[in-house]
Amino acid sequence: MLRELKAHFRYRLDDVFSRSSLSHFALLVLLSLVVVLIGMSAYFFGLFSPENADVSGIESKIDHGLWDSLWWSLKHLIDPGFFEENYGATVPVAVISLLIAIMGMVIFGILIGFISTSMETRLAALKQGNSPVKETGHTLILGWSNKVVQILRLLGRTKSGSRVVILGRPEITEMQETLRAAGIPGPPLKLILRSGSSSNLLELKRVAFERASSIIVLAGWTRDADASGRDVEAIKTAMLLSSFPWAETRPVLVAEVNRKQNADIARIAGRNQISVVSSSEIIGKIIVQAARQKGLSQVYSEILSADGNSIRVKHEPSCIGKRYGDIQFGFTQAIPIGISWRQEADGAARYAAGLNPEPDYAIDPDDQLVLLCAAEGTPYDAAARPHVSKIARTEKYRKAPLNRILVLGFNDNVHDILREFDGHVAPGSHLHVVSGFDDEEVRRRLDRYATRSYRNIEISFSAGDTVSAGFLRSLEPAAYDCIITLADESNDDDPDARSIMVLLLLGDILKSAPGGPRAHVVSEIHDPRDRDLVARTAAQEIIVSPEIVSMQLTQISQQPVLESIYRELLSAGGTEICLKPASRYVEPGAPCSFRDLQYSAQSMMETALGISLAGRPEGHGVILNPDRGETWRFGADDRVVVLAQEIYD
Amino acid sequence: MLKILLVEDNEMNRDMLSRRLRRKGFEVLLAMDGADGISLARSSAPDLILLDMSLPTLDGWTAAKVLKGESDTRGIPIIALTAHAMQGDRDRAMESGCDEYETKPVNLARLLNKIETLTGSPTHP
Repeated sequence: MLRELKAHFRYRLDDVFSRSSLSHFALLVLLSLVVVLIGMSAYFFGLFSPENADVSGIESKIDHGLWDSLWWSLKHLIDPGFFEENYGATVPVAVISLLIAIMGMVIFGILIGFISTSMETRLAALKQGNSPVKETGHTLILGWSNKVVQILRLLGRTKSGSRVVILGRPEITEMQETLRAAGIPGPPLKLILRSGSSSNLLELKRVAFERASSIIVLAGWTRDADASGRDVEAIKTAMLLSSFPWAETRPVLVAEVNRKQNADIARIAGRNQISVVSSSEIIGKIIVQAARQKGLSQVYSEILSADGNSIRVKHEPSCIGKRYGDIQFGFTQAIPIGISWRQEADGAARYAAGLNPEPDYAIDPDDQLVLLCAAEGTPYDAAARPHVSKIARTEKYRKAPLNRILVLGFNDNVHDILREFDGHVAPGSHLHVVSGFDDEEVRRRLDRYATRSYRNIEISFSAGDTVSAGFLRSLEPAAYDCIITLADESNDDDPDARSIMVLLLLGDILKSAPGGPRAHVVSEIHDPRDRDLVARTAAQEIIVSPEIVSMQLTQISQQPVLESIYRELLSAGGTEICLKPASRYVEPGAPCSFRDLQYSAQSMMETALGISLAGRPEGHGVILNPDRGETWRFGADDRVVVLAQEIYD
Repeated sequence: MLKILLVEDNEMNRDMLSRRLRRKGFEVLLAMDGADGISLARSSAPDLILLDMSLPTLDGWTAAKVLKGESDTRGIPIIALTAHAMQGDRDRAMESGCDEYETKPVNLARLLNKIETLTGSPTHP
């Protein structure tokens, strides 16, 4: 019976302790009350007897009864030091006094412990960022990956002073530490961090998603799941966002997924209200385009970054009714590269775009101009007359074939790179992939993406250690048209460090090859801080993959029409940015201006974007949107950057 | 109003060409691949088909052969659209049953002349 009562009491006590801190305090009050009552029992042991009349701690100013006993007992509980004032009291009273003084110490100890614990819990909650965000018009980043830093840098440059809220899985302290190490937050942005899951509506409400001006959903990036698995949360978030009953104004929504095939699922989940960017597809396209065209990675680095020229959309009423070809000459600080308009389809409105339209295309009142320019508000001179060049020429040009390609390294983007190459190269081209994975493992990983057979390329795989000079030499890299080093995830090394070692060896091997280095070397790295190191190796094109994706996500979050523009620019068989020999447009060595190049390009249904000068230091050869007053004399290796419909045959 | 079926998988080319044709007063129907194009040609009987040759699922050459092999669609003129500017591509398109050939990027004035010739209707309404 006693044991049962004891167990019951313990259960009740556990129950109380498992509840909120309020119940802890209630228990403490109850305990205090019991102690006070025990103290009051001193009344029955002669507390106010004549023997205790001279004791200084025993006062009887009210009723010499219960109230005075209560007062006496309470004083012991609140101040255990009061025991000392009972010196000379009768033994029973002194014993009770000692007992309640000890109990008082215990109760106050517990109270201080409770207060301290609740303060710590509260502070931890504040650090956790559990309080709801009260911002309006903020940029909301849902998810946490290695792209956050670059997105914040870009937002800092393009939307200085704006508020950015991040809802990520890691603890806030972990996010703060990462940002601090990267030099963020800087003064231009007000940054608010919250820890939680973006696929939970309550969590989304906590970060005021319905009042945001733009929302960027990031794909997961941990290596403990495959690329497809990492897209699940982004897809769930896209579903939540698209099914939310938005008020009149809806934020611009852009979501990143790792895999291209998941992009279609994300678009369906987002009910076509969300711009979806597949990081592996973008990286694959950029790598393949850079492999085909020397200098192209530099063009894209400038266009996608906030420094220099980028793509902006602008309504220019003074251009209405004019020919697209003529307005080229009315801008001195911008280059029109296309048009954009609002289009209704299937009950939804979207911005459509057309790049490099025919020169005789007449600008409509609802057309917006797609411009390549360095700043907003570029002036248009409506009185400017079309330029007629006397030195323009139209030479035929044929791109150098890309028949043999060597890929060193393996990561989740390989599948999209292979597929993209298949769309760009002539039938019979050969691509060889070398990585730490054996043939069987590579095929198993590629099969995961349900690969279809390739139409144009033959692919072979081999396993080997690419940082071994002997093995690398045995691959005969000099025999390839193009060599691509990927940020290799087939071993546990730092991918960039491995790439640098491979590139150093490669440079040495290519230099000693008969006839000198011939292959065009493209290198993908993960960390932008390694760019300078990689630039000192054999790499001619450097692609910092997380940077490229973050730049595109940030730009699309500010101008959704850029999604279709970038998709078109990077796809095989459409309008592309190309670098073609300057001799195609003007006589080599003849003095010419950028206007001459614009005129000449137009006559071949192309739009001139800039020039690429040979012999300049790495990273300084490409000049986009050049000064119209400058005169150039082009050599045999100089090129013109143009927007053109590419032919694949 | 002439009804034109534009079969083109490239979103930007489709948007741009359909916009330009609509501005010229045509009714434009859109299909994104060869199979959709054939089905829309059967159901909506367009006056002319602009057919991109490099299409997913069912390419333009095959689609043209199917359309020219059926009694209901045999009489619809087809203009092949392709970025392949080689003589061989032109011959291949004509062999598959296309009536005309236009390279991309499309020169609208030239395309309108071809539409006018094939349909016998003025293209400047």
